[in-house]
Amino acid sequence: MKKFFLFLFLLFLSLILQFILKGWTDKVTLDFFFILTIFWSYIREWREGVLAGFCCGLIKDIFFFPLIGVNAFSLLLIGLLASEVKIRIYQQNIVFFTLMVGILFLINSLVLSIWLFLFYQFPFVYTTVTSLYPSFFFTLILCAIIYLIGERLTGRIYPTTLGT
Amino acid sequence: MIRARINSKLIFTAAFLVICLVLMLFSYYNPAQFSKLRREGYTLGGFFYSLSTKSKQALVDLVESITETRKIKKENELLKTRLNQLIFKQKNYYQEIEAANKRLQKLLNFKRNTPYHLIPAKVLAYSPENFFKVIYINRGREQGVVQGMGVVNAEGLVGKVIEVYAGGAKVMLIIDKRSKVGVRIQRTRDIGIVQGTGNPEICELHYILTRAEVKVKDAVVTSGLGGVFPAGILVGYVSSIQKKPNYIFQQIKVEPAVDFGKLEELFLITEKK
Repeated sequence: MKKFFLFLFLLFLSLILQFILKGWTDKVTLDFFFILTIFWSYIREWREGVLAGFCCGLIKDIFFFPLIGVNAFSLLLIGLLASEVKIRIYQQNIVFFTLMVGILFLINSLVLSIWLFLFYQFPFVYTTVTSLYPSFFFTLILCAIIYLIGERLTGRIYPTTLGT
Repeated sequence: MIRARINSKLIFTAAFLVICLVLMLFSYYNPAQFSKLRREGYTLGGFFYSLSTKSKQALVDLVESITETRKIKKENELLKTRLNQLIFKQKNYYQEIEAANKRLQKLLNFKRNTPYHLIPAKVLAYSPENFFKVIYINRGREQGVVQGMGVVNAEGLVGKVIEVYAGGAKVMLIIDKRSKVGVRIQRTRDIGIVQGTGNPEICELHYILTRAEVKVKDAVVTSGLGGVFPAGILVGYVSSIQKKPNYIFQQIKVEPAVDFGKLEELFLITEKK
């Protein structure tokens, strides 16, 4: 229950941060929901990762997307993949983690582009590039910073859920 | 066991993926169904968005005010420095110029009105010894200065040249104890001799008969007798008179017209125009 409220709090915080960032600048784009999904999935077990991705995506869809369920779909997958990566090829390494985030961000963009192409006939390449640039870099940097802070504070980025 | 775990994972994920697909299709074909939800969402979002833009504006204003304050501070420092410079100039430079202007104007008037040819000179130094009241001037033999020449300024008689060098001269002031000048009381025309006392504020006037009607503040001018100084140059004013019975002469003190503490520009008297 404690973790549930923590997640709700982080979800709400992500929403606020997304709004604040949107109001502040259009040059720096960050996907706080993606970041929350990544970290929650990486720290918690796969079920929680999937649920976290679903919830984050749903909120993102409600507030920022014309189609409900698109981000829920992609972030759900991201949550699952992040959990799988942690279980199968876990390395407590900032470079590995950043690389994983980069690949997952790319997958997220591709999934979104596919759905947008299917529903609205958005050009696939254009949508992919638009969703990648420049938020890809900012998200990667922020993820790396959070990872380092977490590592510094706790000694390791996630606790005892390895292999579950 | 592993297969069962994978299966449960697949089923779980697939269930949520299906939910997502349903939501997508539903929202695509019935967008109005979600409009209320979006409206509520935008109310909340609008609040945060407005909070964000307001906080951004506040931050921008703060940064601008800090920048502006720094700019004003820098400008203030610059203005303070400039003001200090101007105050310094006003107190030291402009007043000096004004005073010099007044002094030179006075000297010019004096030179125009005096019936003698005058050689302008400047005081170079005062005598380092306190008991001799002499000064050094920047005019000497090369400028036509000779020993015994009278030295005056706009206020009156200063002294006479006692030594001449190539480019300078030594002047004995009338307040020097050795100095004796033939004078006349301007009003009564009585003749006497003014002798220095070493005190720049007092000279003694000798050889004025007791019966002479001398009054305090009577002007004392050079008599022209003896040929050292031309007649009529102001020496000073009678400041005190003492008459003693059975004495032939009065004891008179004269306050020099010249302020010897502020000597700067002088003239050497050469000859009549």
